[in-house]
This record gives sequence, C-alpha cells and structure tokens, in this order.
Amino acid sequence: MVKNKMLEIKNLEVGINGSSDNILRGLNMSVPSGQVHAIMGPNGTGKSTLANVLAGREGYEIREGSVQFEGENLLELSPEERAAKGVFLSFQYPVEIPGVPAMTFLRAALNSQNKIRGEDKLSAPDFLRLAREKAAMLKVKPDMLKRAINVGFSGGEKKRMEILQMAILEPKLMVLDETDSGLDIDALKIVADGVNSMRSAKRSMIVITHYQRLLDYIKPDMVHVMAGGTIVKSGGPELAHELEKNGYEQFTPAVA
Amino acid sequence: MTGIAHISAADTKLAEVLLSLDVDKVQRQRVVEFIDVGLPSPHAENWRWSDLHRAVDKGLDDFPATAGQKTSVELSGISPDKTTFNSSHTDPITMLAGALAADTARRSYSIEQNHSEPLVLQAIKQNQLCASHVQIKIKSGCQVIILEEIADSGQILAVDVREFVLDPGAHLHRILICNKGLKQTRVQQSFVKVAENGHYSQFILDFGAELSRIETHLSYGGENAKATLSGAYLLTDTARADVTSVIHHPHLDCITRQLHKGIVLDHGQAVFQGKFHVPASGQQTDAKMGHHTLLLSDHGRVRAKPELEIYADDVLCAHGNTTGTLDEDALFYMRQRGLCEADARALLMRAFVAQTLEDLPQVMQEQVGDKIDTWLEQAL
Repeated sequence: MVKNKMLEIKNLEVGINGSSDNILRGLNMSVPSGQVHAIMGPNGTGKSTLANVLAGREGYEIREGSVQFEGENLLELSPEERAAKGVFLSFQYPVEIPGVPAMTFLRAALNSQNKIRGEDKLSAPDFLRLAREKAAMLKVKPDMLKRAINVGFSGGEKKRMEILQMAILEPKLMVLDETDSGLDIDALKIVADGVNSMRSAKRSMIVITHYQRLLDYIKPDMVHVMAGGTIVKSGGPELAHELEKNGYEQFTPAVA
Repeated sequence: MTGIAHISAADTKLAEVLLSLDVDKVQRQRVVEFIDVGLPSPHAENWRWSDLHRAVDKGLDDFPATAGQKTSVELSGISPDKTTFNSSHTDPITMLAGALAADTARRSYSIEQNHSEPLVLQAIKQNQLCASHVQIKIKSGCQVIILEEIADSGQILAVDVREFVLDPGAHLHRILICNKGLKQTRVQQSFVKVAENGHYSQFILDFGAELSRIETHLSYGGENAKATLSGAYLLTDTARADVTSVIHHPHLDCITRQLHKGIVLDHGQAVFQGKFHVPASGQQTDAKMGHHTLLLSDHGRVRAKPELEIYADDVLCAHGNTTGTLDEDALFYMRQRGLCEADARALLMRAFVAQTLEDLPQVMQEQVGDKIDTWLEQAL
C-alpha cells in the first residue's frame, strides 16, 4: 500500500440483503491524505450506497472486494468504531431525533468517540466552549444547539448542523452525501466555507454531488464519474465542467 | 354480591388469610363484608387484561400467615384529622383495603396552607399483606406537591386507596413512584374530585410488578377545572404494569391532558385503559388522551383501550395510541457519530419518555430523571 493513501477501495461489489443484484460493481477508488475527491453521476448509480457502505450501515452485503482505511480493514468495524477512527458521513437527509437536544447529542458523540479511542472525556464547560466557538464560526445560532437535533430545522439548518458536527468531531475522512441538496445559494456558500475551513493535509474528503455548482465552492483535486455501480471516468476539476456541459448521457450506455 | 359460581381459588385463599388475621371487631366486620363481595370479577371489562385472581392466588401460595406490625400512614409530620374515618366508596378494591387496613392505616388529612417542598406520603408496610386508605383534602387556593413511593419490601399483596379532594382553586401535584417488585401484587386506586378552578396534576412512574395496577377515577366538581395526568412505565423481566383511568367531565369548560408512555422489554406486559366520560352537561370540555409505547421485545405485550363516551355536542375530545420500535435511521445516525449501540438506544429511549416529565415540578425533575436513568443503565 502506498503510504499516504487514506482510503483504498478495491473491486467493491455490494448488494442489498435478499437481492442477488449488485449495486456497486467492481468499484475501485483511492483517496490520498489531504485530497478532495468528487463523485458525480446520475441518480441510481450507487453513490449513496457507497457512502452508506463506508459508514457501515446495516442491510448491505459486501460480496467482493476490500476497503482499507489507513491500512486497516474498514469493513469489519462497527459504525461507531469507524466514526472513532475518523470516518464521518454527512447525511443527504440528516435524521430528526425528537427529545434529544443537539448539545446533548454532540457531547455524547464526542465523549463516546474519545472513549473508543481511549482518550479522556471533555469536561462540560470545555465542551460548551468548543461547541459555542465552532457554532459561531459556522453561523449556527446558539438557540439551535438547545433544540432537539434536526427537529423542525430548515434544509439549510440541517446541513449547517452536519458541518458543525464535523467541526467538533474533527474526522479524518469526510464523506459528504449530496450536501448541496435543498440548499439555496447563501446556505450553500456558508456550508462550503465551513467545509473548506476544515481542509488540511491530514484530512480527506469525498464529495458526492449531481451538480458542478458545489464544486465551484469546494474545489476538488479529482473528479470521478460514477455510472452503473462503478467509476467510469476520472480526471481533474475540468471534468466537472465537461459534465455540466455534456451531461451524463455519454456514460449511461455503460449501464445497459 | 357475587354468586357462588364466581368464587375463585384466590377468593377462598384470601378469605382464609383475612379470617386468620388478629383484628378488632370493627375491622372484622369489614373483613366479612369484603369476603361477601370478593375480588373484582376477572370477567369485568376493566379487569380482563389484568388477572388479579391469578396474581393473588400465586402470591398467597407463599404466604406464611405470620402476624406482623400494623401498617401505618404518615404525611410529612402533618397530623391526621381527628374526625372518624369515613369513605363513600364501596367497590371491591376499597373494601379489600378496608378489610386489610387497621385504623393506623386509615387516615384523613387537611392541607390548609401552601407547601413549597413536596410532602411525602408514606404507608409504612411491615406485613406481607397490607393496605392503606388515605384521604387528603386540599383547601381552597392551596398549592401542594405530594410524593409517594412504593418500595418492594417483601409484600405479596399491597392495596392502597387514595382520595384527593381539591377545593375551588386548589392545585395538587401528585407524584407516584412504584418500584419494581416482581413478587408483588399491588393495586393503587385513587379517587379525585376537583372543584371549580382547581388543578390536579398527576405523574406516575411504574417499573412494574407481578401485577401493578394504578387506577385513577377523577371527577370534576365545578367549571374551569383542569387535570394533567401523565406517566411512564418501564418494564423488564416479567414485570407487568396496568394504568387505568376514568375521567368524568360533568361541568362546563374543564380541561384534561393525559399522556402516558411506556417501554417494554423482555417479557414485560403493559395495559393502558383510559376513559373520558362527558355527559350532556359537560359542554366545552377540552380533553386529550395519548398513550405511546416502545415495544422492544418479541415476548413483550401491550394492550391498550382508549374510550371516549361523549353525550355533549360541543366538546373537543381526542385520543392517540401508538406502539412502535426505535427508529433505525436515528440509531444509525447516532452510531455514525460515534455512540455505541447501547448508548444510542438509551438516548432514544430516554428522549421518548422525556415528554411525560415536562409537567413535573422543578424540584422533582432530577429525582424522577435519575430513576429513569438507573433503569436504562440496568436494562441495556
């Protein structure tokens, strides 16, 4: 394995439990530390499946291939172990959890990750300071931290809450699943600024999107086109512009 | 009076035990009167899901019939009324309490001033078979919190009858905590009368027993009165809990808010029976009933029966009843952020019952919250 490869996916074949059809079909991809890779593609090509498989969601069957994260087999870890290792999935539709205040949830998450990693708990005042500082940076109103997480939040607020969680949990690999969906231009810019502020040589990102627009704000190092459950073309940022101009049609015959 | 055909094994055993008790003449008379009536029929509509006969029969098998100390009642050092104890209720449970309770466990109290600290109502039970009957009258305009906790101190059968009478504008906040007692059969029956502009708030936390029946009969005695009935049952092992209530709305403009939530694990069994009765005189009644359960075991069971009996034509009455499981999407979301599965489940379960605590007085929030947290830690 090349030393700076943070994520290495090899020949990944994945289906849903109970169905013989594969959604991901021999997918190969590697993301070096510090790079931002965009995955673009039409609906139903397995982009969200890939995100869910990386995060460890139940219900998927890994039929072939491997996923190495910092040289470790990611697929044999539980979702919480993956989170503690530094894998963060920003959900396309963040889940509303009635009765659980955002602050309580964030603190429980951070403490739980620290515990899995064998690190010390953050004291309540220290956590409060950290949460307030990051919230101010992302223009998240303090009032939102007291409300039940994502309950009654607007689309923009939900995505900002995802970014806030990222800022507090400081993951190594961020998987952003259609973070731009449901956002207006202003919200998109705030979210993109938040994501960009987290770019570092030690952190990698996979940005899943339909549209090139998000990539104007979050500049990728590589763009991959996904169709039929695999990556059909990879290239530099210019590939996103080409897709915007010509659409995905040129790749769809590969599905058939 | 029940016919011969309805006498069960439990009735017979109970009669034998009651007759063997060393009691005074007056209590002996109450014993005889109860034996004549017997336990509530298992065929009665509101008892068919909680088999009191089976529970009593099972409990009495182990009964060593030793005489012990009499049960006594205390209410935070307040002196009981000196008047002769008198109750107008003649149902089998009240009669059973009368048969089992000596004068030390039959008390009346009058609350004539505000109390900022909760008053603790305690039935000190030293027998395996015991009962108490307490009447509390809250004078006009007084505000009081009454806390009662039922512990498992080895009782086979505990029967408690409570009568609360709220004068105009009085506000009683009643909190009843029933700890887990897998060998215990307990019946708590409350009769509540709320006069005009009065407010009765009740919160019941029940961890279940061999049989734990908490029954509330509330009737408004005047206009603009309000009742808030909430509670949670949390059941593991073979614990059973039964929340039964009947609320009468015979007066104008009365408001009832009822919300019970429960979590059932293992072989737990829950019963919820809630009835709103609105006669033609109860116009402008505004009553809402909710009962929601997380049924988290294939062996658990929840039976629910909301009933609305309405004869008035200008009322707002509603009920909602759900049984479900934890949201898988929420569980995955929480685990993706690093919470282990047990912690994620505990947080979701805690959040589920949290809504029932909203109406609790501030001084009680922590105590009740801690009880729930301890249960969650042990259950998961």
